[in-house]
Amino acid sequence: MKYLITVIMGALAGFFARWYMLRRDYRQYPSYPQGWAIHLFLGFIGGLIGAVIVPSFLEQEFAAVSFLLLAASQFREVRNAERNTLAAVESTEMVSRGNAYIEGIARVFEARNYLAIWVSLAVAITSELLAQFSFPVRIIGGLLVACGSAFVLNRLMQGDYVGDIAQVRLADLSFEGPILVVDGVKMMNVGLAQARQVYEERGLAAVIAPNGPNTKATLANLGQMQAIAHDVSAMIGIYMDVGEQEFTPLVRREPSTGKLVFVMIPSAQDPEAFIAAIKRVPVLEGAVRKPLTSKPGRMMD
Amino acid sequence: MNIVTTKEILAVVTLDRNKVAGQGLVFYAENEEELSETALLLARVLAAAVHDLKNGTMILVRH
Repeated sequence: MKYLITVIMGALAGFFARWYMLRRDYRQYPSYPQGWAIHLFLGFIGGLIGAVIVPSFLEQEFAAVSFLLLAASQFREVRNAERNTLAAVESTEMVSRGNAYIEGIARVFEARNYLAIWVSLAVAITSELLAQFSFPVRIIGGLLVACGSAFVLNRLMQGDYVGDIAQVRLADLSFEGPILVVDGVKMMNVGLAQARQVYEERGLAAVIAPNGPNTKATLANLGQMQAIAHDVSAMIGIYMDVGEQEFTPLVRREPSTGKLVFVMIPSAQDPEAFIAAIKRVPVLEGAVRKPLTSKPGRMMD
Repeated sequence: MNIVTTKEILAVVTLDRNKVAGQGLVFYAENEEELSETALLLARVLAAAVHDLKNGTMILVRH
């Protein structure tokens, strides 16, 4: 078969690109091994679609090309599937992810399949361009293009972290009667003396001060606040049981400066880990706002 | 499907009968100790948070 090398190289490139983009970190999402199996297989299908487009184009089989493009659009379903899964397990989370975070994750999973298709398409085109050269040359050329494109695309897709857009520092927590106060911000009413004692002994608080008007608007997003509470809890653990609502991690916003105040009771007292965890929280794509790009926004600044 | 009400006063625990009126569950306590003890017990049963209204009255609200 004339195009065998191209198709195999393209499909494998898509598969490995998807593998490279799968991350297994503290979130454990996609779950291992079943979630991985699903996404690697989808990556393989994507790779195959990207690879087959080139030969069908060269053979002037435009009906085939149209069908392949139609097949590629089916990856939209990935987003729905991810959203449904995460929404279904949301009620089992001690600290919920929030809809904005779920939407962000679902979007990333859909996008990564398209990236895999781009990579396999690039490799298939390279392989065909180098068709008159020997087999090793095509392999090496394809490999270079695959690594380069996967790296660049993955790099471009990487978003910011909270540590990039804001200054995070520790803050003291205290009580004014039953009211929990952190850095001058009244957080919540803790009625029980026992609960107040737990806060005083084990609680940690931080101030997240935005770097500028753009990041101030981004941090004002409720989904972003919930994502901070969820992710920090996932990274350093929480000290709470089901139904102990007074120990739920809490993010509040100070209206005058736009700074966020975060208080929680971690499983162990480690302020450095606490601050590092906050800095490591991703900025949600759906939360990003850029008021400075508008004229009224600049006038306000 | 499990439906729970939130942001609603589930129960009131108070030292002073004159401070609470209207519908809803009210528990009367004799002293501060009993007040917080009752509030804690109710909080665990109702999976709610206890808020202190500072006038000898505590409310239980699920968030």
